[in-house]
Amino acid sequence: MIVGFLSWSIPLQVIFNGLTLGLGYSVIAAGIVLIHRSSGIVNFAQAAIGAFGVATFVVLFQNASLPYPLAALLGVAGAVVLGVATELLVVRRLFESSRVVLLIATVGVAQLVALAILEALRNVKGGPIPVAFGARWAELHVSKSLVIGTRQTSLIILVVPVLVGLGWFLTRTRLGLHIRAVADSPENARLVGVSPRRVSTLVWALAAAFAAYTQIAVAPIVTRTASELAGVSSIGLLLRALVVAMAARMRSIPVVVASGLALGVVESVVSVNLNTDVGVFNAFLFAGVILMVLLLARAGSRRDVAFSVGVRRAAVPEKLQSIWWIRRFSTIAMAALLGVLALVPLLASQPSQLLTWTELILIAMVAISLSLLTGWAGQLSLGQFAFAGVGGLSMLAFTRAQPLGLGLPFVGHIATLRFQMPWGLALVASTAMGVLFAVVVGLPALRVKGLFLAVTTLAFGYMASSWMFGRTFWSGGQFSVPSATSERPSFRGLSFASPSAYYYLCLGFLAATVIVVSRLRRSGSGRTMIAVRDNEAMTAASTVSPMMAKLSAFAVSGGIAAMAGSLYVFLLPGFTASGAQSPFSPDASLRVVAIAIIGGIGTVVGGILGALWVIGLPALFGASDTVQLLSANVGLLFLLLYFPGGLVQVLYRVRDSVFRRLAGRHVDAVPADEPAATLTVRPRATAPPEAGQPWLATQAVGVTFGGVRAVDDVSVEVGAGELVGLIGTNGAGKSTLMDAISGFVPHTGTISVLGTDVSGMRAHQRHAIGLGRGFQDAALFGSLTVRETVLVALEARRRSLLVPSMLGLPPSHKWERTKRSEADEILTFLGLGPSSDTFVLDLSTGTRRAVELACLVATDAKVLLLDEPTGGITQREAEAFAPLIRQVKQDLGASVVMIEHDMPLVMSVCDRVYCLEAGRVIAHGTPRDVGADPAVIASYLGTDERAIARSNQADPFEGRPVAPAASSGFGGP
Amino acid sequence: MADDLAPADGGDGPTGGRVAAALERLQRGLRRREPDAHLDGDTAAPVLQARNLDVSYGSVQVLFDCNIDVRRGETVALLGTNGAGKSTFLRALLGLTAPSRGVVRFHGRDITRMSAEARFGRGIVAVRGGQGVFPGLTVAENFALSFTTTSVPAAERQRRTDQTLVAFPALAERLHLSAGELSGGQRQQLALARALVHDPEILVIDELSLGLAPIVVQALIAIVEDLRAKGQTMLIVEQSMNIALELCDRVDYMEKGRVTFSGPPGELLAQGELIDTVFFGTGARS
Repeated sequence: MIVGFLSWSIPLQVIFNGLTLGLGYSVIAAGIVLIHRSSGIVNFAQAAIGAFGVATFVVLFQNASLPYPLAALLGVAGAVVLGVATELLVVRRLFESSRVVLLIATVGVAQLVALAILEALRNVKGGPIPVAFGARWAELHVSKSLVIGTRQTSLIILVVPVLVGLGWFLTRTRLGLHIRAVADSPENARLVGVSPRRVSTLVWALAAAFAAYTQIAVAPIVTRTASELAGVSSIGLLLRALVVAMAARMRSIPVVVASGLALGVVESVVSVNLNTDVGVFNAFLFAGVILMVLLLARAGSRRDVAFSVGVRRAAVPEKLQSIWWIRRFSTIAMAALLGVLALVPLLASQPSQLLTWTELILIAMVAISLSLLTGWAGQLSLGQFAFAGVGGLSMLAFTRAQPLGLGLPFVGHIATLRFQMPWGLALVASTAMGVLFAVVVGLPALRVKGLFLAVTTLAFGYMASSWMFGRTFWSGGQFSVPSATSERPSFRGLSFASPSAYYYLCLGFLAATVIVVSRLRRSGSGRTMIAVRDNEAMTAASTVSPMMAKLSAFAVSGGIAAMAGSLYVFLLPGFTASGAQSPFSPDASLRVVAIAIIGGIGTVVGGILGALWVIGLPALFGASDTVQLLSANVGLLFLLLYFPGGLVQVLYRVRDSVFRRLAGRHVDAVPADEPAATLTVRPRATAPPEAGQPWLATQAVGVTFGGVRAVDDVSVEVGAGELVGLIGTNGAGKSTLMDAISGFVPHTGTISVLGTDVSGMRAHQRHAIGLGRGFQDAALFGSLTVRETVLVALEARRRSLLVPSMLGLPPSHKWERTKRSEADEILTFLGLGPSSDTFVLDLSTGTRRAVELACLVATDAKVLLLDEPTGGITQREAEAFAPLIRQVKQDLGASVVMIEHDMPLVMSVCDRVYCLEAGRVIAHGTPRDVGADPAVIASYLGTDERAIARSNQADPFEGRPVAPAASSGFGGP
Repeated sequence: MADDLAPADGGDGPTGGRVAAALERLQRGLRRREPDAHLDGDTAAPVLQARNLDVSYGSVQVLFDCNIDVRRGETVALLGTNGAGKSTFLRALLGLTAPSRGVVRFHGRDITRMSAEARFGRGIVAVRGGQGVFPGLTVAENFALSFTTTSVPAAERQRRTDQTLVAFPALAERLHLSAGELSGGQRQQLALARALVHDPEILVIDELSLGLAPIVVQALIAIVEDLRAKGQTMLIVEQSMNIALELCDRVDYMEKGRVTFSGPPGELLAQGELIDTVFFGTGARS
């Protein structure tokens, strides 16, 4: 194939056709760019909103016989109404939410609009989509090899000026200026009188009008008849538009047009030359998406954060914890739910009903896998059902000995492998395939967060169903055995061929999944997945590799989905694995997203509840697929807007209020009882450095942010057991220096910790050597409890093992028990015992600072880096802090570097002080010496030399009438 | 970046020379905003006033019962250490954060529920330290943008911009550079210049000296001093004590979300213990 590339023919006509095709991609991409610039949203409904305009136009033209211009105008108007409605009803309400939530909302809108279009076109008269100037021009024969059709002429006349106009609009008009200003900083825009919300509404209206107008012009080229129109909003088109938009870095309209045209030409040439292998272009497209996303990640986007809609529940009131059924409430409820599901075969009157319920069980499994990946690890996957497809088709391949051809480009065919496995082994092998694919798909997640990562998973889902599943290994895409039930597994003579037996088998797998995932949630591996979502830096500071945590989430999630998929294929009597009718299409993946969110993402039971809502309810009432799609997407939008925690959240609220009533009144956490005298937690084995060597040393460390030297040639040393203060005004580079030492920002120069050069190491490796880190915001892990937070920090002492934790194998139980008792001991030691089960998000800043100290004790670090340990806490708490820091330092036998603005604290506890200004060390020495240093005084008091000169005459702290004791400037303790 | 400012200073110190002259021309050239008749015309009322402001982020209260008064022609400094609540207080005054209790008045009129956009229209103009400019827009566009929401005629816009730019030659040379390419000092100049073209009723300056080299700060202070001399009403948030003491008629001092002192700078200095404790690490606790 690759060699054949050289002999491709590239006729002029093909290039021209590609250009017109590319024009279609450019216009959708331009709309996506416009909306992304104004509000940071990737609008998945862009193509659908445009298509809605086209559908309105077609209906009015064909059925109501309106003249072309009037019908087109009304079509555009319809799209504008839809766009503005979406903005006002959905986007505005979710404006403060994560951009990923908004992305999901636009997916819901897109699917609803697609449904509306299908409905609208049901009764439309046949015939081709009208062309604007169709009657006026004949085909244009430019040369023998190039003919420009009437449709294309019409398209060029209509679209090109508008695209040019859009570029002009952004750079030259007032609204264009406002859009760019809001893109830069919404808050600053408000301060010069520009309302970001108004701009957002206008942009949605504009983008919708633009989409409808251009798509009305493009539609005759892309789709010949009205019935194909719904496909205009398809995933394939959306992905192409996204690639184009990302190639332009979501910014420049001219680049959008150029890359759109280029993509069109490439696609046109490829499909002409490889017409035997239609889907192969989609494989290229997937590679393109990954490439663009990685490039875009380097550009960075501040508003891109991991997905974080989580279900929140209150801890069980302490008074009730002694009642066994309350303690085990979740388990009992889950068992009851599974018990009800076990009754289904007794109630189902027809085999087809049972088939639907079996499908529900398996889709619930996929939803749980998504819930884990998205709800815990924060990685939104829009291609989850493709992992199920990988599992399912591998299952078929392994049990039927499909040939797997191995080959290399330029070398050609090497070997053909065939696997013929028994059912059980094939299930394990297909699950492993799912793990493998999920890890590979998860790799970009190590660099990319949130929004654009979701695009890569969508692209994977699309590529898989439109190309990969058509390969020979996966049955060549064709799977047409009269009855798949004949291949259903049997185990030691026990046959699962009957519908009810197979139902129970699947239910068994669901129960097993529930147990494994719940177990994982209570283990260290599960906690670190959530930790990395909440706070990647803090996770690394707990010596856990954020990369490994994310990849394990992908692995587990992909494995579960693949396992569900390998059971799922036996429900399908015959299917085509690739193409629009694939059971593993992106549409199926999007449905799973809806299910997981409706149920309550991040919880195990949520996946089952969501599947019951989306599939079970319509099945009970014998409703059609359309109703199912409607209930899924209306439910999705409704819950996102009003109950982002999903159905589970609603149930939890009921449960919590019942518990509260039972407990009489809500019991608040009681602060601070008497701290335990000593700490017996076993220390972590860290090699002590040779005597006399500094525990922390930086040499000529420099950090540059976009041309600004934030840290410039800084060398500091911290000796054994020293407490060193780092002072300086805001923006002096103190925190940046600390981040460089921790390994959170790239730096020049060398840094050594406990005698080891760590300059080339990643953050978690540096902390594993003995660094401990406290953060300025003390954000910790908002969705974990205090005890769980300390447990994550305890990973520094002994890392939990993923597979044993999931399967409940030794030594995970013993380790977990040890960790819990260690955590409790540390918490009691710091007087935090009563808050153990409180969520970090609900703590005051002061308590969070104390929990942060508990984490430092837990990691057993030897060099503590504390960034404003008394920031944001009350004076009384701050005063209590000095002894606490001293005690922790003493107990750990550690050195401390502390950034602090509370000068009395610095002066009273520090052995030595470094003062930074504009990224450089301007003074260091004892607190007294540094306090008296003229450069330091100038830095703190302001740099107006006249002021300083005057200070010397009537020095505010020398010649002042009050407080004569402190005559030497900063003074000592 | 210091070099950019140096020529503007002429030879005789930061306050003399071209900056002062240019600013004077600018001030003369600007039409004073007519006293708004609808603003109940109470000239005695402070330009900006806050009473009993409480602000909470979620369940955490960060501002407790805060008061402030800025009268016409006055320069008031809001002081305090990191995390004392200065920025939050400012956000509430500018309309970026809604207070949970209390009232904000502008010329005696309640503007507590007025949007930040509308407050700008009334003449409450902010200069935000370190982040006040639009990095994706050119310098010229930064100026043009802030005029798009006002009713200033085009010719007048140009005149005001040109006159302001005389005082900021570094910006005048870089009109078509994107603001993101400017140095820190130049960005701060841009933020200040962009505010000045609007002839603000009150100029709210947040952290003028944030992260800038001393000589740059010095030149910026010279500009603010000139504004003060011209009678510009200003509210300045500062970390740097002496800058504030040097520039201001009155000082409000914040600690842990409360205003704990309000009065002339001399009195704050006399409360030596307070300053010692917070800024210099001496005082009662040491």
